[in-house]
Amino acid sequence: MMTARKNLLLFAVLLAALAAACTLAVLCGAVRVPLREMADSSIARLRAARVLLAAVTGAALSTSGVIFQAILRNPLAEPYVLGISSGAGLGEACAIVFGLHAVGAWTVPGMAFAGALGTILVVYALARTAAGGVPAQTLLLSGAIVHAVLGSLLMFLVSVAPSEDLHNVVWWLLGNLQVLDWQLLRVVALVVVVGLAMAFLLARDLNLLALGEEPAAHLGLHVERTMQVFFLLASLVTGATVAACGLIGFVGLIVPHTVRLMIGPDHRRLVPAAALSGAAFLVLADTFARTVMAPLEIPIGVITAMLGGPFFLFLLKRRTFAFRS
Amino acid sequence: MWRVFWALIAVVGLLAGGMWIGRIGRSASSAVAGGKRLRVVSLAPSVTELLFALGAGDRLVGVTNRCDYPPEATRIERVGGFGKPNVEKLLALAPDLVVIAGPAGRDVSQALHKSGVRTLEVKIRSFEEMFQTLRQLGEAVGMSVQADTLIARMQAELQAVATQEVRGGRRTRVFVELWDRPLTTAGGPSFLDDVIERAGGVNVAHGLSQPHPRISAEQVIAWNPDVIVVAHMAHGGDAAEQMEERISWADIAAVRGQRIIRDLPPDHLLRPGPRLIEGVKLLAQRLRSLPEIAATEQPEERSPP
Repeated sequence: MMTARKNLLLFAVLLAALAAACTLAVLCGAVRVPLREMADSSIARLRAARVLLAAVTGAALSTSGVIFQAILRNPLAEPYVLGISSGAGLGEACAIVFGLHAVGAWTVPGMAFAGALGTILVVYALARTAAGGVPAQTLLLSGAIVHAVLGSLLMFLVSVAPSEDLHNVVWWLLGNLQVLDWQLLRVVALVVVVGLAMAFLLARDLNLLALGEEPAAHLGLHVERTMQVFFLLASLVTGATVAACGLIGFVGLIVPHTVRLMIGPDHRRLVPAAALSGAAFLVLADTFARTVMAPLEIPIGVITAMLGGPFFLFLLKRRTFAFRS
Repeated sequence: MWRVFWALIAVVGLLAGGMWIGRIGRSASSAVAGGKRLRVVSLAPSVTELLFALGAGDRLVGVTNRCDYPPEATRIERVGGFGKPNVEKLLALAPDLVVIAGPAGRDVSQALHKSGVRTLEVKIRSFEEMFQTLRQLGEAVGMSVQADTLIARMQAELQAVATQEVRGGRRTRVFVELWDRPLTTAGGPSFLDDVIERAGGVNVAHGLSQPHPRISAEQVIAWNPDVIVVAHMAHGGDAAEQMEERISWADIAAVRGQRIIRDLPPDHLLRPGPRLIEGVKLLAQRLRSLPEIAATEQPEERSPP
């Protein structure tokens, strides 16, 4: 009874915070729009789309951070730890080098998404042992190596390509929540909402996985199947966000840890709480990134690290780390 | 007596002939360093183009792998990428002069100074600086006269564009899209700003102090430009339809009036070389031939807070 009421309060507070962040984000921007015209303003419409992308991306990155930290049992794990980032970058660069953008606007984010997922599948295949298990350490190592190899391929392309356009890939990799059309936003939102709903429904299994593979198996969990499902879920939602807005560091690392420090390591609460906090955090950080030097935009990753880093260190100094229930 | 006279005539004739031949020889390769032709290495595509325009292309012994114009430039030895030359290869070409522009920067310059190679650092961010660079190059390769002639011709061409009347009494307001992910434009200190100005338009991002700022899409909507110039190679084909699909971009005068220019060769707009003159002419022509900007479409601009 007590916990039910506490949960209700927790989620009411988080939802209110997210709503407040979104309202503020729609009201602020590079251009001043009078409050009276807000309801019928094309600029407000554009801002709303951007706020939606920020919320979806923030929720996706923090949740997939929670998932990767649990299945890899490593506090340093974050959504890009297994090389998704360089895979997506390489996909985007290839789309530009081989002229796929001429086919349609969707091909560039499409290739980035394909690159992200392809990378994850390769990493998984490399880490899989003959017996069928996927040891967390091997996964991390093969992820790091694949990340390095793909990253060097990307830099190779950027340095030899005759087109100056490719230099923009480096800027895109720094992360940007600019949204130009609804189409991409719709696809990303759909992938993320479905992915997060599944993660929420399966959150109990994350508690077991976080105990370690052996104890989880003893408790009746089909460890490899569960790991595969979560691995795919986290990769799908991360890949979708990377395709839409490049790399946004730190959200997937600090939001899960901050929320865990505040409400404890039970994933049934952690998954939805991290999603809501991540959404609110990224909406606020993006508002900051596009207003502080308007009409210039600062790469969002710069803001997330600058705002989030010190706050997280402060929490870390004050509380002890708890990783499993 | 006569013999002495003929001998004298012969000597004078030979001297005169010799001097004449010598003068021809000198003017053909006026900057002879110890009897051989000056060996020049260019570390930027723009400098390569300027040297060829000057008629000094035959002095080039090394260029970057980005130097693709004029076609003759591609047959010259490459010393590495734009801004990152291979210093060993560069020195092996035994250049008398290395012209550095853009990101090549101080490191290369210092490394070459130590090896005793003469360097010339140039900055080309406007037409004025381009003329200045041409003068410097002309002096360095001993072709000052040709440089002055070329500059005068370029100035005349620009002047010819500038004197064409501005249609409708108001300058066309132009937004340049250099890239879309993230949205990038050309600010006040960029060469493109100068190109637009000279083509009879006005750059909506003129007030920004970065050469290539990344800006908010909502600012573009607020600027409400008459014309959008798409100056990247990607997405060129369907830029017009795509812009209509962008959230709220259909409100922009340029998108509503289908005034999107997307087929100008990017090198004519972006590379700070002699072809920019051509770029100005092309852009001016296109700005004049666009569908009429109706009087009711006077853009209202909201300024940033």
